[in-house]
Amino acid sequence: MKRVEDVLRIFCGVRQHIPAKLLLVGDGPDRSRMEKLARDLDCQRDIRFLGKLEAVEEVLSVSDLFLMPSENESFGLAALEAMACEVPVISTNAGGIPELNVHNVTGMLSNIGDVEDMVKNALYVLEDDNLPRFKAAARARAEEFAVSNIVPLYEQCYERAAVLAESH
Amino acid sequence: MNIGIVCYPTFGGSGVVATELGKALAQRGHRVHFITYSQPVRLDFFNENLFYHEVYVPTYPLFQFPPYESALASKMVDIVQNEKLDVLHVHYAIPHASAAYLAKQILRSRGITVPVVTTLHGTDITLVGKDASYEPVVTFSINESDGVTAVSADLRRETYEYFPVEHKIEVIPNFIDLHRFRKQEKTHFRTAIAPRARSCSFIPATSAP
Repeated sequence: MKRVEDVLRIFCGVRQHIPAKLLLVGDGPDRSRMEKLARDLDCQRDIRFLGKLEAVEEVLSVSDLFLMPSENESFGLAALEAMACEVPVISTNAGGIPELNVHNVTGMLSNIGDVEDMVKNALYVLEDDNLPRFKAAARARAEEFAVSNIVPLYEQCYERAAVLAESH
Repeated sequence: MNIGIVCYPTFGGSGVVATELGKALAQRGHRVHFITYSQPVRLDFFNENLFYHEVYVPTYPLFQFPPYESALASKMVDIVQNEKLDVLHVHYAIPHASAAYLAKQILRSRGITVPVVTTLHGTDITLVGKDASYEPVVTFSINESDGVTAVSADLRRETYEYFPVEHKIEVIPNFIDLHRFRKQEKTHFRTAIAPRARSCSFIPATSAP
């Protein structure tokens, strides 16, 4: 569902054009397969498998780009966390992602599995002339999802539900 | 308000969002009661407005599958009644929404009305919920909720597409703690990891705890 193989292929495509490093957070059954694929693609020297980390905001703080080639995401919370740390997002247009990641503003969207397009988009966003505006827009978009903006919506929902329950 | 939050306490989007929501509501002065089978991973500090009630599921040789849903519904009844909850907010439809429906009916038989709000998070609809093993129960419990929310318009669309749901579904997106998630000065880390190079990252799950 997360299409981790696409992450590696996108990264290796980017790295053919510019010097780049990939930071992979998380651990799981896919890891050894990914390590093998990294070796097969001959880009293992530029990939760091960081394992399980709690302070992901520290990794995001040194990132220029966040990759989310998922096949299905109902929202994309990890992308929101990246955007809040001023990291633009290269993602698919699956599920709820386009409601968060605005094409050509906070990052770029591609069809599921279109690695070539995501490589092209990543290189575009990483250009010196483009990166600052994408970073600023990512943070600005994330601010719309601040706790103070969203939690009152739940309070209002509770109040409406209480009225409905009483009326039944 | 006195708010009951039912969620999966483990890592993963729905549990993280539910826990963060409870903490944010507590900071706004509400009394928030978490009802789960273990302490939510991020509920690791003291706050006078936060409470945790463990759902204990007794085992018995007869039970190949311990009846968690019944134990959860019983715990909901207990907490609503004794803590005088104003609302039950269940995160992830399976099996929380149907357990909440059962609790609501039991409470009604005791003269207590409690509204139930169900939040759909994703795989409870897109993967698990669609399975014929669960679909009738998911549909019924969504329709019987007093409030239903989904974390994106796309998830709402999928819910209407795959389930005969008639209830209005409100889209309330996930949210973020902008104080925790902000760009930090990590020059030394950056220099060590990616000197003179662009840096890309991939984090498959939400940050969890």
